[in-house]
Amino acid sequence: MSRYLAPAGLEEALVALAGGARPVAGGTDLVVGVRQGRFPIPDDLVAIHRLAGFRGIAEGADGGLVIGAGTSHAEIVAHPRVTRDWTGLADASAIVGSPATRATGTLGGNVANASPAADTVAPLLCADAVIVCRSTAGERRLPLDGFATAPRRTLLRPDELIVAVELPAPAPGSASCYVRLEHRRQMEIAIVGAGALLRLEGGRVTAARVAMTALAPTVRRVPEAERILLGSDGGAAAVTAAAEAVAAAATPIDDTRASAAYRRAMAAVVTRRAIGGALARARGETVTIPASDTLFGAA
Amino acid sequence: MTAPVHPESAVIGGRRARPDARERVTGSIRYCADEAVPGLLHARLVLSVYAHARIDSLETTEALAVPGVVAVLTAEDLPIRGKGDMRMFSPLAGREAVFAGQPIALVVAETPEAAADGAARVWVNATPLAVVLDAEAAMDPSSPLARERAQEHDGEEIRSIHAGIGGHEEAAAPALALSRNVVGRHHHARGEIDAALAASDVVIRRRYTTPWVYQAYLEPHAATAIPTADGGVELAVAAQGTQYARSQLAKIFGLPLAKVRVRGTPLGGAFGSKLLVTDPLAVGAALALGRPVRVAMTRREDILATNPAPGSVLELEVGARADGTLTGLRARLVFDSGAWSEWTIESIAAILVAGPWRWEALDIQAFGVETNRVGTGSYRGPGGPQASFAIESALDELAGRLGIDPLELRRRNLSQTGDPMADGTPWPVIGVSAILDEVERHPLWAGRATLPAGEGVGLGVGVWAGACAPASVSARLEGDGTLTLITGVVDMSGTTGTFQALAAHAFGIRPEDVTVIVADAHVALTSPTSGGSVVTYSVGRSVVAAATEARERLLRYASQEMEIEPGDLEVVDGIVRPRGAPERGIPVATLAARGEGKGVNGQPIEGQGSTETPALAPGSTGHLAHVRVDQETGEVTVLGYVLIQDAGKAISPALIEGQMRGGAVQGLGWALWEALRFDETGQPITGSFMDYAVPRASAIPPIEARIVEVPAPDGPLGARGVGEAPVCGGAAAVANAIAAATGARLATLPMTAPEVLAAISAGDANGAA
Repeated sequence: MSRYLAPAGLEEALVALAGGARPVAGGTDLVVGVRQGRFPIPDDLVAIHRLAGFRGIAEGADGGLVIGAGTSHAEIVAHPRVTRDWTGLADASAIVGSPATRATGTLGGNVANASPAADTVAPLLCADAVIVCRSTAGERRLPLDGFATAPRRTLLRPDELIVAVELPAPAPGSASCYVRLEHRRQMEIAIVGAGALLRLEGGRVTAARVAMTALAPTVRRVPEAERILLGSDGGAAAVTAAAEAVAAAATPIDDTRASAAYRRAMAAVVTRRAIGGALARARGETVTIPASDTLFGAA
Repeated sequence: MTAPVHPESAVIGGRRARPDARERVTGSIRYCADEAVPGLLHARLVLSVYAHARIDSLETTEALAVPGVVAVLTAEDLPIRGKGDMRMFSPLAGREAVFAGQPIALVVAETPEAAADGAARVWVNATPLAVVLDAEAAMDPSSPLARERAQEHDGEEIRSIHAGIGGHEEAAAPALALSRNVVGRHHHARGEIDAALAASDVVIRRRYTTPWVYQAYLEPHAATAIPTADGGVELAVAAQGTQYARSQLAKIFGLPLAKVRVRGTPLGGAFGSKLLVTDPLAVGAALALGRPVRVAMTRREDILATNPAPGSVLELEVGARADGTLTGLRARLVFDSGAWSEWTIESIAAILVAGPWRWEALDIQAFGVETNRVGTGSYRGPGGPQASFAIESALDELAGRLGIDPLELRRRNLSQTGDPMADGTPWPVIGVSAILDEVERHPLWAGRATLPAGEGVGLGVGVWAGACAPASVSARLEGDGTLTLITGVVDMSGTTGTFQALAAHAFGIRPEDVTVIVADAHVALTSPTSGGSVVTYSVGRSVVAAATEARERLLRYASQEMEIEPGDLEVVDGIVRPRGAPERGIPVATLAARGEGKGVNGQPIEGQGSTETPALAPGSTGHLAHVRVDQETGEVTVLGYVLIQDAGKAISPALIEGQMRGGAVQGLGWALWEALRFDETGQPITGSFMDYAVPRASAIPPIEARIVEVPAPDGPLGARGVGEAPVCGGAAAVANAIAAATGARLATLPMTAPEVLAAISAGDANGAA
């Protein structure tokens, strides 16, 4: 029989975690995983979704953003700073699961779950996100890049809780985009996805981030693609070359949703569209959120 | 001809929601598994993990040790007396498991949780046997057998349902060496096929394949059985046919019919699946244990262990002359019937694959083949989605090669009343011509040449030959002037609303003053199983007859009260009145109250409508799909959809349109997303809605439903059944739209993005001969 603790404060929750309890916020991964028999219900659960300061979005002193780990995807996509300055994250948060999943599921959960197909991770990688972890021993701030080590595995220690995701201020002239290819519209796991962030200064790309989703054991950046874009004019040749670099770096799986060959072929397509979306936004053009609907032809 | 107008207030053709709509939409309706039963035990299934294995032994000690577990029942423990080669006689595998997911044992416990814990602790010792998965290869005499039992077959044993069609002489089947996996074989031939194809200016040869498809109803299978003091049983079950269930259960358990009572619970969708699946498990367990037992499947059990639509291969060769006259159709159909072949449907497909088209010669061979997959069942228009996908795709391709408009090609070759179907049955009156008129007029079809690049519109025609059955309904005037209808027909699709309208029209009152009672199987008069589009068409006739008889008795009574000849009276809007003198009318309610529902000399004002089997009345549809294809990813977005259907006479247009939209969505599921998939060992790998992709609302465009009315001579007011035809023809419309958009011809369902992209990349080389 499982025990369920609903602590009033963070310290009490951290003590519970130190004692072996597992955290639950939205439960959108936990409940589905248990139902599918991927893991048993933990003996001790500690509810964290009502912890003070755990949920909500605050502006950082440097113009960045601090997103509480318990913030729902729906709250993220509704935030004006996110939709203006971290558009790629908005693209992703807008298409995670179903409306119910987005109302309940949290950003911290999506990061901690470390699914190779997690939608929010690629845009967070592009945004140079930092993961703030707390335990009774104190706080650790870890770059998201490298945080996931394998499918469902991260650097998070069992007694640690992700309490926030920090996003540094975006550089002027930069913009981001996330798109995914799916089997059906909505409530879908990404077959493949890509995030991109480009900074344009005087017609040149002066910063580039490209990350791929469901194309490797973890969502990860593709430095080869970023190098191709950096210093380029962001034209079709550079974008196509960068997209091909992602396809070359991809190590996709075969499953019932798609074959590895199709995923690899699509890696280039989604990357090209994600980069294209980011460039368009960097030039001040409008690409409606979520970009997937626009760039993948949904009515 | 124009589409009919349906004023809201009209009795016939009025737009009314189904009577239980609110309950269903708000979720307050109570399904079988929601019912509270004192002392109820809950069962969980132990499913075979092997696609084919000899079961050596079961270890149940651990399961029995779980607190709350009452029993672990195996095939030997169920008191089955009847014998038959159908799943209902063997609801649990005995010595041989023949598909992965087959129930082997039933863990019965005080709570569902204990039953689940127990089921996880039953260990099955089994010896794997050769797995047969490829239905075509399994036909070869050298193939291993999907079931050892097949060796007991006595030669060619053919079992099939015909859903009302067929019965005509089949052509002699060519001599072929076939394995005993082949359990169904049909052959229709007419004319000189070789000569007809040889004399054609264009011949299309293509191999179409369709996957196993799950019905994906809202409510999984469920049944609750309660043993009775007389040694019998009461069953509450989500079933399409309670009288069918009752008669079969009596045979299975060797019980007199008087001791078997079956009550239908509100169906949360069925689509052909809910026929004797959980019933024998629940009844067997209840009889074995002497306590009430419920078998309510989980979604996983329902996907793995019930009766989805079978996978199929349809090889077609179709020819035409340069002027667009169809010459010959040669077809070879192989339907995978899985582990159970009682609902094998290749016989239906063998007729529907010829479409409503006129062929100078045809030769159609169809085979049903057992494999080690879940046993096949019926799914909405069984055989129709597969057959129409093949023939309507082939006609579209033929039109393209001939340079003839696809609609014009169909017009030129449309069968007329009396022309032979594939099996020689003369075509009754069908509405395809009226449907093609509507298609031609529709702006989507008319404007299809002006679409942007990457978009296309496709046409598909669907036909369901229909089903018909004898039926009886009783009608009784209540003391308050309302009419009560009693039937045993399960309301699967809103037919209660249609019965209300038909009875109200026949009797002369408002539909809301008609109450439809769906009585238990042992109480109701003869009531067919809901399926095959039988209910409105066949039972509707009985409703009209019953209400008409009751009305005659009412008029005799009114005649006596009003001193006017019955022939000079009419019933209008609930008032009995002399013709030409409406001011002298007396409300039905007043007459009913006066006699407390009795009439002349106390004769009850009642009627019984017992009708014989009517002639066939096929349903037909025309589908227009408007798609956009992403040329880089192969993704197909359905931008628009028009479904035109011949309803004969639209009694309840809102309900018909609901059937049409639902069928169109299921057709899009067939077309683009749905497939039960199995790995090379026969393991199902789409055991949840995570992997089995049903259409989502966000992927479905608004569906325009247009009704045309070509009356069926025997139908109530001319009405036809409307349930099956909406799912026939849809996948072809999408395939033809993709071809129009890209030039790529898809011959494999579902047409997923990778398949579409591959077809685009391969150009016209894909499968064309």
